[in-house]
Amino acid sequence: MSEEAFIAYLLVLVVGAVLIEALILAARRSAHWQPREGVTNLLLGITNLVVGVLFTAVNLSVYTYLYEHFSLGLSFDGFAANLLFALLVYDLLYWINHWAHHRLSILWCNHLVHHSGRSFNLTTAVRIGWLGNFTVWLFFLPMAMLGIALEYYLLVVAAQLIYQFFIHSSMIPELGVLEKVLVTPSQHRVHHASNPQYLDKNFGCFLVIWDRLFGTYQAELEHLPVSYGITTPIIHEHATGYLNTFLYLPYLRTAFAQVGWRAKWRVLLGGPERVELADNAERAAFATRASHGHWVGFIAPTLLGFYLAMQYPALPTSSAVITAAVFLLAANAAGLQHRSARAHGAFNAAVALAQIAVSGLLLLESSEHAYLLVAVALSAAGALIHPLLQRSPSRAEHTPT
Amino acid sequence: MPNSLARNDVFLGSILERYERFIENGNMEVVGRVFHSKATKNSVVSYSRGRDDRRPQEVLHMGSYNYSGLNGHPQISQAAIQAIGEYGTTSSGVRLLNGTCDLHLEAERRLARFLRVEEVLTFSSGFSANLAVLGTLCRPGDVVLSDMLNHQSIVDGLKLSEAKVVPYRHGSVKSIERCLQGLSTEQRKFIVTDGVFSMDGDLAPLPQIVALARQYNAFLIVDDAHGTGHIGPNGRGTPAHFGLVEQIDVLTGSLSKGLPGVGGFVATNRRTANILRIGSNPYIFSASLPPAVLASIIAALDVLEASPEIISELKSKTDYFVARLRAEGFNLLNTQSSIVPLLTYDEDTAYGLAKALHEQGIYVNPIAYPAVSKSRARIRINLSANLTYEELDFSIAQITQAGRALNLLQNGQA
Repeated sequence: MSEEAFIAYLLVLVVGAVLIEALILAARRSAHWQPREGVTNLLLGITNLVVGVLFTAVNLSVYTYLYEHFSLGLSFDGFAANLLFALLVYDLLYWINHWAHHRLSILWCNHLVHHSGRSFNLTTAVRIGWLGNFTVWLFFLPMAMLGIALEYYLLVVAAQLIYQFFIHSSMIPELGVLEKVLVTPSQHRVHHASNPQYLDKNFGCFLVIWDRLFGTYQAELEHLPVSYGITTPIIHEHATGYLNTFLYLPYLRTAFAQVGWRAKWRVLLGGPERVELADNAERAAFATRASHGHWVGFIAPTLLGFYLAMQYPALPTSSAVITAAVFLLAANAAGLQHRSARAHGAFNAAVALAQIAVSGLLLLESSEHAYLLVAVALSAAGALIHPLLQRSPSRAEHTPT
Repeated sequence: MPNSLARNDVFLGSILERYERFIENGNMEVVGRVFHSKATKNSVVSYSRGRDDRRPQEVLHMGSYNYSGLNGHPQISQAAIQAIGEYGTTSSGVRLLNGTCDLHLEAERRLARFLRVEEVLTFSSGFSANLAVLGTLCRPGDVVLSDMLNHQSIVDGLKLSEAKVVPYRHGSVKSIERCLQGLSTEQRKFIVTDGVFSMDGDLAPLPQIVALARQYNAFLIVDDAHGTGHIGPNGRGTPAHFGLVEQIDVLTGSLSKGLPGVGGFVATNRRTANILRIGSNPYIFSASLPPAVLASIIAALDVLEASPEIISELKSKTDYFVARLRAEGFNLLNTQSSIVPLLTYDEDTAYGLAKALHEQGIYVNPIAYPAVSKSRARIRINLSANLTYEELDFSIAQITQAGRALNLLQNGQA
């Protein structure tokens, strides 16, 4: 199966499952039916996917290089044995990778995006910070050095994507005896909790044996309902660019505010609890409805992301670069709040126009997935006009959602 | 005979005179009003002993110190009930004798972790925590710079210490510097300030004070009674709000405001904590906190640590509330927290406004001399995190209506 085909199937699976779950959650009036956050999650997910596919060439070429030059040659007879070996090694490395992304501030600064949501549903599974694409792959390079062939690595990664996607569910209860061996939705709910007793637990991918072995296992307790989110306050909950980056500066500031290099390294290489977050350094922007980054502005970049994910191999380099740049700008500008309504309006108008321009240019080049480009142009135009159709701020809702 | 106590003493006599005057002019009704329910946002309150008609009135409670809104939280109440079952209703002792149970150690450890300090001591009240710190650490011969609007417990504690007290103008960094410049470097000196000032709602300029303390070699003591569970990330208080936790030498606080219990605490480094544990009278000679309160505090910290949005939303709501009231034309001084002083200037207007709002279903506290200066009486509104925007809108409407009826808003400006 080609990479493009796999991505296409993945997108269909994700969108389909998300829609079905959304219908169920809405019908049940579940606390996890939070459409605004769902839209944010989808945009974060598609941004992560696009950056991932653009970066994948580097990842795979390094893997191949190590496999060819530094491998220990640990290979077995038969497809099943090799796959099983790959799965086990991947599972252990995944635990280490995940543990590191929680316990090292510099990695947590990005991984927190995944944990920052207040609802827990399938869209949470795709709520991933795109900077993680540059850190996660390093932890799996030992597989190449052990001698696991690229095809097995890719198969296991595919399996992980699908398995991890479905454990982000609030609807699947504890699974009895399976809880002893497999990673389950119940355990993953605990992993996403911010209750002190649930913090930094259940890092596993397929098997929970590593958590049990390394003492990071925690069962979901009936008397202790899960409280989702992170323990750090987030000022702009639905601003995608902000979520991806907001902790880096406080992290560096805290480190360099320490006296002496030992203290500095302790913060730089230490855990997120060492990062000092001063309230007054961030002030919520001018609070009118226009400044709250209405969700209408999220649709166009999401659709543009879908287009890029499916079409990128066929695009000429210059178009791909321009489209990717516009996409990254639009995807990270979504939900940003600005100090003045005028700046907000101007900035959002510029982003909308850029997306309309890019879709126009791409439509001229080829008719593949034209429906997506038309949808991008229309929704960007809608986002442009939308603020003008709103009523005056004095009657505005005061809640950011 | 009790009456003769006052008859021959001028000072005590004048206190009784004020009391009788208050009863006469009806202001006593709104002082010491009685709650007949949980003191959460929907409370049932009646006038105090100053009035005969004491029918209970349902009010929206906007005068509570429970900034975090955690009083009555099911998880917290449950923890307290369970602790009573396991430990009983009292600790029956003082800390150094038989009054320490494992809940004391757990609560102090959790508070230390929450506040990111080395050690925390708990006290029977926030008032006595201040008496302990100032009475023990400040000695005769020391110089203590104290903000003019500091809480009365600091003033009393400094009296106990017999140190030389130099008051500085409220919130004025220049005034502090001028006081410090006159002292020698060897002179042992302290700067004491509230973190959040409970009458004006403004914050101490901590970053500049910390810089001065470092420059002039002074110890810094901050009373954050109104800061914990109110401001700062996760409600960790004024030092965390400014990112200055490590630069404060001693932090005192309260367990009865943002944290839903009773009592006080002191957060400091290990050496100072050891001094206070075996050397401060309020720790040695006062009963330790009961188990139910400790369990409530631990459970409240669980909730605050897990849910940073409680405090973030409190801030958004406060910003909204303050902006709307200012737009109506009220003078809210320079509030930087969820304590909102609404100036009435005149003392009788303050009590009248409080009474009118009581009738309209809003509970606020009237504040007059001696808590504030005679010409700056006010009603004080305290917001809590669990108030909804609809309730805020309702209260704004009622306050505007009552304020207009009392001529507080003239020509759109107070």
